[in-house]
Amino acid sequence: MCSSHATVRGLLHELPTGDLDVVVVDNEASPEHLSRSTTEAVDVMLVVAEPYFKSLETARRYAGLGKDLGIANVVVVANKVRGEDDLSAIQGFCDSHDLKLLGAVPFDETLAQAERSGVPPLEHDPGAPSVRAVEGLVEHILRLVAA
Amino acid sequence: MSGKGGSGKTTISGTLARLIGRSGKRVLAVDADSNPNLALTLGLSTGSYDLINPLPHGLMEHRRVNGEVQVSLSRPVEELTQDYAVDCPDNVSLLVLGPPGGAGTG
Ligand SMILES: Nc1ncnc2c1ncn2[C@@H]1O[C@H](COP(=O)(O)OP(=O)(O)O)[C@@H](O)[C@H]1O
Ligand SMILES: [Mg+2]
Repeated sequence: MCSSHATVRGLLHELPTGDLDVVVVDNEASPEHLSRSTTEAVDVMLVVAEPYFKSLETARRYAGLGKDLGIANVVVVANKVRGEDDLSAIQGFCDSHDLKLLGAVPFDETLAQAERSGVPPLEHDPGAPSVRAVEGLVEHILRLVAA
Repeated sequence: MSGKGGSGKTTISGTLARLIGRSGKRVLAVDADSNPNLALTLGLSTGSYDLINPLPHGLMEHRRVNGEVQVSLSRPVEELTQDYAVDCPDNVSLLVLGPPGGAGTG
């Protein structure tokens, strides 16, 4: 268990570096393997949450771990949101647990089509609702990174 | 990027990395999942999958400082990304961390 985690720890400790501007880490589900001394270079932790209770509870726990690690910006990104009700449920959950909801990505069936044809979302349909929503996150995230 | 399995971490982090890259920044995408699959979302052509050279675990050094184990890389990050990262579209390069359980792991 600790091996790949050790590598992540080492990397996070020493990144970002030289001519790289941004490092995006697609992590294991949970941040529990990260340690405080090695998350100093992490500007933002995004916690992806789906609009159902178990996912939100998990997100809340992971966000708590991230905060305990001293990561300055721990934010939630809602995903697979199917309408206003989903969105307000997530917003309510975040509000009541002192979590910042950075943005929401709608449920998007073009992603399943993309997957079936083995094509990345960006090539499959650059105008897809999910892609547009992620586009909307970029500016927010870069602002957090720069701050 | 954290979140329950299947919540969309890979979809969002891969697409996000590319869109940040398109905004003119140089992005390193690190696939730290034990079941790595970020390459597809990043748009790496399947013909280039052979170029993916997972970062070995042997590169980690463990040191004990004031009773706390500190982990660091035994070679500079620049060198590692040069040797192990694969160029993807949109200003993104991909670094895959090797699967756990290989020789010399902790
Ligand atoms: N906004 C969305 N709408 C519909 N399906 C989605 C959405 N985001 C992700 N998916 C689908 O959910 C599944 C899991 O996504 P993935 O990014 O692999 O999750 P994780 O990396 O967290 O395990 C994939 O089939 C993906 O296409
Ligand atoms: Mg994944």
